[in-house]
Amino acid sequence: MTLRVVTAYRASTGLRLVLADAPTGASSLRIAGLTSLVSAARPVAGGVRLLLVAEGPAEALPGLRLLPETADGRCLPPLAFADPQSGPPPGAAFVGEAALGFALAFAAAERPALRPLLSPPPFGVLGGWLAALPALPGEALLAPDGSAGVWLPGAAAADLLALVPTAEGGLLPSRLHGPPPLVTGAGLLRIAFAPLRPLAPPPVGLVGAAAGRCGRLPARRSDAPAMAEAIGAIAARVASPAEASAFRSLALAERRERLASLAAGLAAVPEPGAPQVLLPAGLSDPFLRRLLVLAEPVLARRFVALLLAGPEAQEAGRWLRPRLSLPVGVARSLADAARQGGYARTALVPAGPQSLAAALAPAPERRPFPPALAGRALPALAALARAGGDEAAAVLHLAGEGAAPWAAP
Amino acid sequence: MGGSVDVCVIAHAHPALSRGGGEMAAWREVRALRAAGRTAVLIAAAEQPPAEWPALPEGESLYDAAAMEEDRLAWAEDPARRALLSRLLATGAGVFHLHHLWRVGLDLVAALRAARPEARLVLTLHEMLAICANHGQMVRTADGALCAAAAPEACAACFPGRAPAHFALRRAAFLRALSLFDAVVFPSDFLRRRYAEWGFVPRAGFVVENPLDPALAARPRRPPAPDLAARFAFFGQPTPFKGLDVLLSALRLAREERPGIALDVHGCGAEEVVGMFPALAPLLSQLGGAVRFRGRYHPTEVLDRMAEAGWVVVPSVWWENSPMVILEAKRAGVPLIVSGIGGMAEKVRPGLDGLHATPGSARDLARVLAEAADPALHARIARSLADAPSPQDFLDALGPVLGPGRG
Repeated sequence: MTLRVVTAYRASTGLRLVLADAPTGASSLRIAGLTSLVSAARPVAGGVRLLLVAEGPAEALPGLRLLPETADGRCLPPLAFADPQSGPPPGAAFVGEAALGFALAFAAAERPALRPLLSPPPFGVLGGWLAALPALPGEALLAPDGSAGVWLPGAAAADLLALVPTAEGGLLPSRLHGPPPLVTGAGLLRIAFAPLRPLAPPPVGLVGAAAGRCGRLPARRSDAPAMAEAIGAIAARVASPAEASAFRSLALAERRERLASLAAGLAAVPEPGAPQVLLPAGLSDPFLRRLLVLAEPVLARRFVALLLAGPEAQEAGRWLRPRLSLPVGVARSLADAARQGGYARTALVPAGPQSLAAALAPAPERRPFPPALAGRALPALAALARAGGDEAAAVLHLAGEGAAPWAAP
Repeated sequence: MGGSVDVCVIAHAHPALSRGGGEMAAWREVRALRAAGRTAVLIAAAEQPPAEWPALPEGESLYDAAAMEEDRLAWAEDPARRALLSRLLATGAGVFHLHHLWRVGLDLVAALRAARPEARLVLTLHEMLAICANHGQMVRTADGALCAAAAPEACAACFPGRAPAHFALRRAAFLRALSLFDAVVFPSDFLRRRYAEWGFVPRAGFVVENPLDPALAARPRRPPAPDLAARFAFFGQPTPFKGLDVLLSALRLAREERPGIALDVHGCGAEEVVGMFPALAPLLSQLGGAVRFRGRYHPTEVLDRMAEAGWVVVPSVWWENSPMVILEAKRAGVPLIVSGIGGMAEKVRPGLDGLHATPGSARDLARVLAEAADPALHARIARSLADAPSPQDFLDALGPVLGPGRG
């Protein structure tokens, strides 16, 4: 089934109607039916925009929903005329104006009830729309912490959506928020952030609507500091030094605030008596692995297991497992370790080369292991580590070895 | 290798493949123990492919170190580590005596300790590898300057690709490994002190001189010929640490004062020296017949070769631990001129066993060579020169190290 979306306006009520229609044949949606549905919608002051999504056989319109928005963009509860959880029928696709597709994606980003529209992967009924989007002129950078830096020449305002990969191989639109853009005669510069969800993967693309156009923003990957630097350079080029500096300060403050709540979560105290798991960082150093083996009798008195996370974890685990009696958990990243579960009720003891060497040194110079982290804070740690772009540095920071990587621009 | 043995000696090499001081000491220990009625076996590392391994006598065997990590301080391939551990355990030895941790592996030591907690583990340290990543030499990588103490920041300066934290880890790992041994042997008190300053004091530490070849020990000691005071000899390889380049430069300077001074170089040829030190080629031409390259020699020839010299010179530019050549010169009755540092300074009492020179200084060594060419001084030092410890001295010292046998 192919849906055709057209727009119409009823001047007398101030309603903007978005009507769905099937192009031809007996299965066409009936305007009469739509009319009656529209009439069921309650007009509000300033007008209501209705996005109509029709699903299922045309005669029955079983999955029809109305998505009202006020003219000033406020979202109203969706009006469901059928089971809102049922996805579109196989093969259903959105065909319509690009701006309407963007509006639908924008609505889906905000309202979980619309998520079925984005099935099957990669982008549900909007897959064809997304693939056909033209590239918008401009530059965009995406950092692993979900932040995006965007330069749109000639634009004065822009809406941005990040595309976040799902576990099923699809994409979820995610609305970007952030400080006010820097708008100059040359264009619009923006640093914006996807919502910080601890275990969500970073965005892989951007779509935007600006200057009456809707399209993809070809984005390069970058780490957060490099992105801040690149955007700062554009700001310096297109705005006065004071404006550029103020814009950068605002963006950094937003980032700090965004990460602060997660960082606070790291201070959570483990449950008393929680089994302790050693979380070493610096696995690429062969002497760290060797020390773990040589000190196993000491480690086994305190720890129930080792958790190795990061790019070197697999190789380190392969080397350590036959040499240790202690169980050795291996994860490609802290986020993977958090997803594996099993650590939520443990106390994770981070240790880097310095703290491990000090904790396992001969008695006179021995130092305690670093304080333990509540295992339930592992997702927050993973998110922070991603924000800083360096998982090992994040663990090292918790072990008292170096600055918090997420505190850097 | 069936049945239980008393002592299993594990070495980083076998004399059939290389003849460094450490492997010679391990091999001679096994021979000495057997001569004393104890059952001992030698299991030694080999870098050569097994197809090239020589046939060895009963009780001596090799293992392949190729399955180790590049620095030869741990095993890359676990099956090979397990296989070696099984071989060691199959000896049923009550004492495992390791010479070196290099080519043996820190992880193997941990596994051996865990598998045989009641066994006596003994380690002989032949250099400062645990302290210094520069081949255990405690010599700075950039300029060859002597290093007096290891510290993470200073070590990182020697190895710019490595962080200070790496060296903290390295030290902690080595200290853990060393703590697994019941007894540790230092061939020199200098080495014992260096390890103590670094932070390692063993549960039971012993200073035991490396054993000399029993055949050499049995040879009668001859007084040196009186007319050899101006005849010097160098024994060894032209490596950057042995100081042969310094000695050759010193020879030229010394001959300006004493033209009769001459040098025999044993253990290598002129082409090997020029290969290692190309800049010395003009100097060798200039020295002409004052330097004779006598080539390689069999260990049994060493005393005879030394007897042709008035002095044996050990001009090493690193600390040395207990160079075998010093023992051999003492056995030969030939006075020594050594760099006045480390194990050399300890083993050669100035004015009694020989003379000291400033390491790395051709000028100071030239001064000492010229001074040594005095026949009266030579004769006086030759009279007071100590002999090398005898095989029985070695066994007596080794007794408390290894503990009582199973007899």
